[in-house]
Amino acid sequence: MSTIIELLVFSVPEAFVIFMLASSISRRKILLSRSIIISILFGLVTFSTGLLLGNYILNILCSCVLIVLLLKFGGSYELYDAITAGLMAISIYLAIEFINVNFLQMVTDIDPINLGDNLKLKLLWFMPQLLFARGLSFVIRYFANSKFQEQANE
Amino acid sequence: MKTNIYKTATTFLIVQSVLMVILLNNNYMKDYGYLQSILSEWIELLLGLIILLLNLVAVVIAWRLYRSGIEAEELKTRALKYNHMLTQYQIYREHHHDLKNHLTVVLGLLTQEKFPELREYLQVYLSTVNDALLKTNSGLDELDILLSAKIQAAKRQKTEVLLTILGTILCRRKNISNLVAAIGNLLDNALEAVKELEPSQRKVTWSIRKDPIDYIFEFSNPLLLSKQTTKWDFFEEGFSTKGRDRGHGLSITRRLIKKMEGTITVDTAKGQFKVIIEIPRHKLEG
Repeated sequence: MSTIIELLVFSVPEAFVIFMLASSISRRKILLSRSIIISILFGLVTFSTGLLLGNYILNILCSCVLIVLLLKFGGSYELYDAITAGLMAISIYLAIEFINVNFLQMVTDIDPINLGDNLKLKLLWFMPQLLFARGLSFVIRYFANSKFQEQANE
Repeated sequence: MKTNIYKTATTFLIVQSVLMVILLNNNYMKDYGYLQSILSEWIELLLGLIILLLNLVAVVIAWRLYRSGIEAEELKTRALKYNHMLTQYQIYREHHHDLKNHLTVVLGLLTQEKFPELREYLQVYLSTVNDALLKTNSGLDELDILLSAKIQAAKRQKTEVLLTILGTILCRRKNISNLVAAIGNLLDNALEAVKELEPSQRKVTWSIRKDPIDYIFEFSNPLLLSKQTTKWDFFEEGFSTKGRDRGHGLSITRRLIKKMEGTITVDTAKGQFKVIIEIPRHKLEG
């Protein structure tokens, strides 16, 4: 039961935000229904590979391959666009996650290993990185890209 | 198949970023023994080796990017040069085409022994040819071609051009494109501005000179503005006296001049719209 909750509460929203970031970076729109489907698929597979492989590096490398495949086939991206947007999105999200967890640990003095059983606390720790990544995706889509386009036109 | 160096560089940069973030996060996870298998150390070592390899390849990519940047700059300048050469070639062709007709008239006048008419005809024709084959000598081929082409354009719209070039310009390849683009904008602006005047008032003055510190370019034409405008408004994006969707020339020119660490000022005294550009010689010459 807790596995399903973790999958629904953490992995799928995380995947959804990563796809949002990828879509903003690539300046494309993915249909909401399609985004939800590929996010569920991505969340499910990365969650499963995490359990199966038991290794962080391998798990993320698998996620990288998977996001490229999903963007290419699910989002109808060109291979190059899928690689750049997908990998950039993962890279940005992981960096945000690293900063978020480190910062919260410094501020609250709570050992992250103790979060495992406390779903509410885990969710509280998870929300800032999710919201920040969502906000960043919004900034990239509406401000950074338009500025970039402006410079390209010059 | 030719590799697109920009795509390769972008991919490399992104892959490196991902690998570094993975390594960073993995170190954090390792401190808490989270998601670490017995192979973790080997995988980490392999990842380190891959990053090292990518860094080495990045050196080659950086070098190729540098070469590619220089080539792109050269191509841009060459395209500009050919574009102006094409204009000159068209002028030559026009004259070549007319030559047969002129010779027929000359022969006719000669046969009829109408020598004063013949002299007058030849004088007019020669002055036209001299005008068309006008040569400027600024020391910069690209600028000469631009000036010649704009003088031809001015003649077509019955605008008098007073051009003064005092001293030759030395300019490094990197700056030629920016300089030609900036001056081209100002020449176009001046010619377009005087179009609205009576033919007798259509007069523009272009001057190029240098002092020990700067190259000074001055472009002036009669001022058209009826309302009061501050000097800085001219550089505002979209400011124009010529209607909507215009007015990007001066702001673009200012940006180009800034790139060369130069200054651009507008003087609207004495009923003239005068743009003065000063570019440090050491910046332009490199």
